[in-house]
Amino acid sequence: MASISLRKVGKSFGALKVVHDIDLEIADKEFIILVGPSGCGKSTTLRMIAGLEEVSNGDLVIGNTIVNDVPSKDRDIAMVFQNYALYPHMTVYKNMAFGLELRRAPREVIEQKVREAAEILDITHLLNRKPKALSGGQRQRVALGRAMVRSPEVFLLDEPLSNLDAKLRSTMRAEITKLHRRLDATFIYVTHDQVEAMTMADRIVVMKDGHIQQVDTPQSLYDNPVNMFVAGFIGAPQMNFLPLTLERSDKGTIARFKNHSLPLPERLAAKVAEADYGRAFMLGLRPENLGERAPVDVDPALVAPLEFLVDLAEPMGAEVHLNGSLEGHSVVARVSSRCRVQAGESVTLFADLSAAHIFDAETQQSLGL
Amino acid sequence: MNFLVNLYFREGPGIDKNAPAPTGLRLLAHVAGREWWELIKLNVLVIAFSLPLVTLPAAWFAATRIGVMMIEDRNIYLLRDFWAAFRAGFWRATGFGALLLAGGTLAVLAVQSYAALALESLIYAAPLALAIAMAVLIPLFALYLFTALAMDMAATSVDLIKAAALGLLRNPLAGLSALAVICALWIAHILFYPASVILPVMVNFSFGALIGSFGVMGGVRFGLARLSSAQRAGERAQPEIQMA
Repeated sequence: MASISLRKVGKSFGALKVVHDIDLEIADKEFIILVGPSGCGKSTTLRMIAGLEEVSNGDLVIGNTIVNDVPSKDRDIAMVFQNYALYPHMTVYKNMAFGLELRRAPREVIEQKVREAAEILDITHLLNRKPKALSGGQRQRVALGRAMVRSPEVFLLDEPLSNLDAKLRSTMRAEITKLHRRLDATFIYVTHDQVEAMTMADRIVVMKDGHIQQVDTPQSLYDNPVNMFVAGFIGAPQMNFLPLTLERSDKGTIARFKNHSLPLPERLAAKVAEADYGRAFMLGLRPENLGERAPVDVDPALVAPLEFLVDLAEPMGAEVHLNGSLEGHSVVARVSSRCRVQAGESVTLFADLSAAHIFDAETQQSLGL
Repeated sequence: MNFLVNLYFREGPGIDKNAPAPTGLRLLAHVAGREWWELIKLNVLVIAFSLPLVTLPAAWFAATRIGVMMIEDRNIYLLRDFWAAFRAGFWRATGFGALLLAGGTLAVLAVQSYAALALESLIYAAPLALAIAMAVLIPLFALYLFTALAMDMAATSVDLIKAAALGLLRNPLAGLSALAVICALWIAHILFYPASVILPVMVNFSFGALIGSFGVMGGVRFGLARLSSAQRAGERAQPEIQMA
């Protein structure tokens, strides 16, 4: 049983508090990813779970035991580091066997476990080689193998794919996901790459400035961000934000962006009706909700045509990302590759407001939740 | 300083899983390049374990065993595996070593004697040639025998001798070449002494054991395979005889 609970866990370095009393429940065998920009405290949180950093306050519970004072080696966890941390003077086999040797495991057991892990990771042909000869991806597999041979209850992975090129990263993403299914252990993974987080996690923890912003499944985070930070961080290209004012009328609430009256879906209309209309708001629209054609599967009343000035068209193959402005506000739209527009041209884009989000500009909190 | 650290930790080119395995001299160069540091450490071990002199055959055998493991690309824990081989093969290696040393000494003495006699009468040229052949054959056979023991420590001594003999008959030139290189290492040490004093300390024993085992492994493998197939045939025939 390797459920993990962080109860008001904080970390301070002198007067500087880098993790602020976070609460987090991680279920047994869950693949959870801590994501956020540099300096948000995700790696520190991971290192506290690993026992590499002391917990300044709060309780860290693994299984049913508070492990604040339990040494790292006794926590039944294995960690994979960003720089792999392989011993350069040892062969791959010895790197993988080292942890078990320190625990005085029998040689036959070590041999069996190393061979098994090597088979799974497809590195049997590397066992007698030194890390110096290995490529980044191969080193990464060895680092994973070294963690695997210990058969820990919890795997901690600190940006393990950051040093790999894009193609290899994509391959290793899939492999780590498969590995999680195969090993049936708890995985806690730190990354600043939201694509990794979206594609691999059972749940994502979005962090900023030492605080947890939101914990949810990838799709739910994408669909229902609690604030502008999460909305902007999850999704690539990131969500567009446009200033909005709300006005009351006979027909209900009218949302205004510059001179445009924008229809609101019922789920939002009900929420904004309770809001203080004197405040400033932000409309959040994903790039895929701005298209060169009106979407056919959406109520036409919730589609608004907007004039868009193209600054840059980025062909991505299957689609084109149009960077430009709507009434002077920078916006990115994701349109089909058939849309032929050049920089400097104006084009009418159709905003699908059924998927829009509204945030309080001051608190940055979503009104939709 | 960072430059050195980065150089030490930099990524390598990677190892292709489907790349053809090196063979022949390329394999030897590959092993030597990959294990050079282990070979230097192995050399020191051989010297240390040979200091009582009587342990020299067992130390040489243990080095041969490590050499075989390197060529077979097996995982090696140098001290542990060396010590295990030294202990496991001590008595047989010492026994073989004593017999071969006695034979070799006799052959060298015979060469000396017949060479002196041949100067006086050509009739001694034939036994001189035979003595020289024996003086070469005995260390050559030693290479095959020690490698056979290193490759199959479970085999009986008689089987090992048979396998070594079969291997020698199958591929004597490879063994001769290996022996020539080993001799060349020592001759180089003698010729360039004292500048070459470092050679025996660093490589002569371990590299010699590696080259020796590399040269004769093919023949010994053939000998061991022939013996094992003959044994299997014997085991199959056994029940038929009993039934008859």
